[in-house]
Amino acid sequence: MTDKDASNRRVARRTRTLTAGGLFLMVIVFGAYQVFERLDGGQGRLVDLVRLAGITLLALVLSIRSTTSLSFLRRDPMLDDELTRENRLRAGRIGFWAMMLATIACGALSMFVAVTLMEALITILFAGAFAATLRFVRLERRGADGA
Amino acid sequence: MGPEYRLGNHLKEARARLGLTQGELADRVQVSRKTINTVENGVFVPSTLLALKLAQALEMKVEELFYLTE
Repeated sequence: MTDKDASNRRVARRTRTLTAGGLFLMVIVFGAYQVFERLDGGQGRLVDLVRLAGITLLALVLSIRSTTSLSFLRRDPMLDDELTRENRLRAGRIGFWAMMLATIACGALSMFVAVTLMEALITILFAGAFAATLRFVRLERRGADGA
Repeated sequence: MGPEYRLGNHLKEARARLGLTQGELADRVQVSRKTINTVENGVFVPSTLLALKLAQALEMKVEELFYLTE
C-alpha cells in the first residue's frame, strides 16, 4: 500500500464517520422534533428549543468526532495534528466573522420585516457553521495533494 | 517597517537523502502526511516543537533544516 493510498483511506474513513454520525444524529434530532411537536401541538416554544438544541448538539458532535476515529474518548493523532488544529482555529475565526455578519444582517433585516428570535438564532448558527466548515475543508485540502 | 521574513526549509532534500517518503517521515514525527506536505511547500509554518522533531528525525540541526528568507 502506497503512502497516498493510506492517506486516502484515512480521509475516506473520516468522511464515512462524519456522514454516518451526521445522518444518525439528524434522525435522532428529527425524531425528537416530531415527538415534541406532537406533545406541544406545534405552537409553543418547546419545539423551537428542541430544534435549536438539536442543531447545536449536531454541530458539537460533528466537531468533536472530526478529531477522533470512531471513538468519543480517544483522539486519533493523525486526525488531530498541528496542521489540523491550526486549520480548525482559522476556520473558527471565519465562522465567528460569518456569525457577526449574519447578526448584522438579521438586525438590518428586522427593520423592514419581522424576524423572530428563533429565526435569527438559527440563521446566525448556520452561517457560522457553514462558513467555518467550508473554510476548514478548503484548508485541509491544501495539503492533501502531492506526494 | 522591517523586512518581512518567510520560513524556508530543506525538508524535501533531507527526506530524499534518507530515502524517506512523506508518509514515513510523518509517522516518525507523529503527524499526518498532509502536514509534512504543507511544511515542505512552505504553506504551513511548523511549531518549534515540530521543527525540532523534524530535525531530529532527519538527523540534522534545526537551523540546517530551516532558514529565514525575505
